[in-house]
Amino acid sequence: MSAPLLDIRGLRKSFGGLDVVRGLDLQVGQGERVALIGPNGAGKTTVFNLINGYYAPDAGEIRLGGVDLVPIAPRRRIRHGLARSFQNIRLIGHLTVLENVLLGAHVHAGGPLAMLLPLGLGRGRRLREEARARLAEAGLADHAGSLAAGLAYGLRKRVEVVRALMARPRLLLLDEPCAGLNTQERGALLAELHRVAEGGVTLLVVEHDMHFVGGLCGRAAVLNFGEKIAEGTPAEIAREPAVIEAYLGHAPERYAHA
Amino acid sequence: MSGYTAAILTLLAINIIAAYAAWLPLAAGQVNLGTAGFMAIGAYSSAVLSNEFDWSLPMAIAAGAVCAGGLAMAIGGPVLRTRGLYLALATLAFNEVVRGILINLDVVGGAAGYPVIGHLGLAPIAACAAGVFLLALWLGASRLGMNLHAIEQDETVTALFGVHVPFTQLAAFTIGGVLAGLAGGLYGHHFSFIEGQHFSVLLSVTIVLSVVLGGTQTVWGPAIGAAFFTLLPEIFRGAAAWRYVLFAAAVILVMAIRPQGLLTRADLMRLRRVVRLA
Amino acid sequence: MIAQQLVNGLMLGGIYVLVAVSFTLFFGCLNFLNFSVPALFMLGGFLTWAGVAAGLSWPLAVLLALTVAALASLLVERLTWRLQRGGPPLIPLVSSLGFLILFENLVLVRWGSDARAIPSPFGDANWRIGDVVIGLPQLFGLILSISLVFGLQALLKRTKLGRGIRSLAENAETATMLGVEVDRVAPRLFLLAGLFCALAGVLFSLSYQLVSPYMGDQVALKGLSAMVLGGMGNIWGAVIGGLVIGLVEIFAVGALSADHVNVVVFGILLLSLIIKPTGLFGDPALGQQKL
Ligand SMILES: Nc1ncnc2c1ncn2[C@@H]1O[C@H](COP(=O)(O)OP(=O)(O)O)[C@@H](O)[C@H]1O
Ligand SMILES: [Mg+2]
Repeated sequence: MSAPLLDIRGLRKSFGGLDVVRGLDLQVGQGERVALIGPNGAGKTTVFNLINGYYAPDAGEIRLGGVDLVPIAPRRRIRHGLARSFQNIRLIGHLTVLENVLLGAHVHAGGPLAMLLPLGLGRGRRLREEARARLAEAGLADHAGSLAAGLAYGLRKRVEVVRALMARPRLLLLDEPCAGLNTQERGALLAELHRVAEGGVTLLVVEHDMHFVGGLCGRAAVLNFGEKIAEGTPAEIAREPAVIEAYLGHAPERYAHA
Repeated sequence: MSGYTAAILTLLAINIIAAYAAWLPLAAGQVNLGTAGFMAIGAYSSAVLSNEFDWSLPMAIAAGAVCAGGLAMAIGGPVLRTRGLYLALATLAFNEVVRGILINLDVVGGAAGYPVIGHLGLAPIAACAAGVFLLALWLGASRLGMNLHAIEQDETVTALFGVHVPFTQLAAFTIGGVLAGLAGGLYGHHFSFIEGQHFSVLLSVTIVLSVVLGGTQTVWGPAIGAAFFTLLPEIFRGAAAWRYVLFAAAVILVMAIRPQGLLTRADLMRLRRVVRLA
Repeated sequence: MIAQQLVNGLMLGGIYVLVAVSFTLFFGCLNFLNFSVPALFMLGGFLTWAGVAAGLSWPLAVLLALTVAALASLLVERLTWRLQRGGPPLIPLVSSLGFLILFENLVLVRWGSDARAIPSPFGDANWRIGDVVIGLPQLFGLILSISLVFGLQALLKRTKLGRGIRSLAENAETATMLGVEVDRVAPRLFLLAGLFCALAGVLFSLSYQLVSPYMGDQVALKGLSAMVLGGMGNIWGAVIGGLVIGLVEIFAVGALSADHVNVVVFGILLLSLIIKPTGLFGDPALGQQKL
């Protein structure tokens, strides 16, 4: 295998004495779809925050396409092909869905002078068309003109994914994209993410829905108390005793001989 | 039109320009309590240029606006690198420094004030206000405007999408400085007299309050707020103090009930739908 | 001459200390830049005059003024901070500016804008040490304000309320989780901080014997400078900041003129915000947000 797109080594982070990420190693190859799973509080969101620079790591490396991200300002990391969605939706409520999605394309909008142009003019015209097209692809075309704050939870969750895609990332980080979505919406999201992955985008997904993970990801890494306790295909992971223990909180005696 | 109406309308036009000056940083969640200070810079520098150097009024007023904008950039640069509430403090300090200097500056009359020779009537001032409104419409529809709103609601996420937050805020603050300078220059050349005392923090505060009252989410908010503040005493023809009591009570009440101000983006969209159906 | 200025500066600084501590309590504990502080200061000073002018005895007038200011501070809590808790810090700030204008103009409506002379209950009592004159009311004010800060320190350290306030300062969210009833602690904090600045207003009127509806503006702006200089949210920083600003003001009057004081004091504020916004002893992590 060639050098992985995302290469995390020895990553550590603690908050006031609480070790939240403890020496994590994680590699994600170009075009791969990897799940990062683990019980609540395992440190998954913190890993995402470290990757996109909201927190500075205490130790360790994070490389994206061979480039060390750690010294790069959070604001610049998106230019290296990194975009994400948030566990607790972070859309701009009093902007429309279309505007929120256009915010995702900020890095493609041009220099300071282009900021002064109205959204649909100049280079912004093509971006707006792209945004409309992506919203339509996600089945959200009808909502383009609505204020984000007025949308149902599931829809907002989906808009976040589209917004991240507008950055045309190489690596897309999704933090619990299914949470709060109904079965039908999960199906639509799964289809969309398959399309995205086929377009060459690498996916790293935090998700509790193992059915969804199984349908999307070829590989999963399990985090517990900030450490990787298992890694493998979703099916292998589901059989791993350490994983079952992590989720149940005790040794799986009853399953031990199964 | 009676002289009285003209005077009210002129004041309204100037207040509207000042409101847009405060609106740009406010849209990004930055409180500029130095708007009156920037107005003073615009008023005094344009007055000196037209009085002492015989510049034409448009040139002098434009130069005054540029001076105010330049100063805004110089101050905003370092201050905006720090967190939100510091800007309120720094601009407040700036306002007091400017006022203190002007009161002590004898070449412009010191505390006695400074007469301005050139005079502008309602028509050119109203034209400027209309121009500023169009500019605000333009900026409101621009990516800058969108980024400002995004920063106001979620600075962290906006930055993660690659927006240079301090730079964007500085742009808004600087354009605001230019507009405040313009308002000051027009004020001086209309009332033919300026004094440091007029450009107090209290003036800055009332400008900010009227914008927030009108609402920062839409381009119309500042104009609504400025109109409310300017026309209120005409509705209640009482003592000046009552005007402030009512204004302040209105601000507190509106902030308590709907902190987004009188007109929100959602209202505007609803309004548009109604108009389209009719 | 220098000794006299030193004394005068410290006396004046004593007033700024109380105002700065008030600001810093609001800011450090609630991340709230409370601009109603100047109005509460004014209510303390002005209503003391109003009470005395209406024939009340001194202690009664002071008590009345403090009570009104405390109620006003509670009103501010109800209509600003409580409603907007957790939202953008801009809105409570704006509302508190509204309260500043409201209270000042209510007083203006009732009593007019003239400055009023207020007789001191202590007369012109003073001490002379060599050439240096120490006004007794001023000295009393300085001692009282420093003792109050010590009292505040003890209260924050030792009492349940103090622990509640300190955990609010850590983070309102976690404070709620830890069982601190934010809605019970916050009003008491408003009461406490409101009384601090109202008392400063009383002391100011006793010391300088002049009140007006706008008396709070200039003093509170200097208290604000003191808070920033000492480091926002730091109580002892506010004390040092207050004394420094008092000294700077008196020496600026001596070296330049009374008219230049604002330029110097606010110049210092502006510069310290530009150069070192966390002040001398500030906590740089204050106001950080979680993702
Ligand atoms: N900024 C922070 N300060 C202190 N503790 C934090 C912070 N961020 C996360 N934590 C703690 O780190 C642990 C892991 O959190 P998180 O990464 O959100 O878990 P997950 O996403 O796996 O549910 C939790 O115990 C959480 O309380
Ligand atoms: Mg999480």
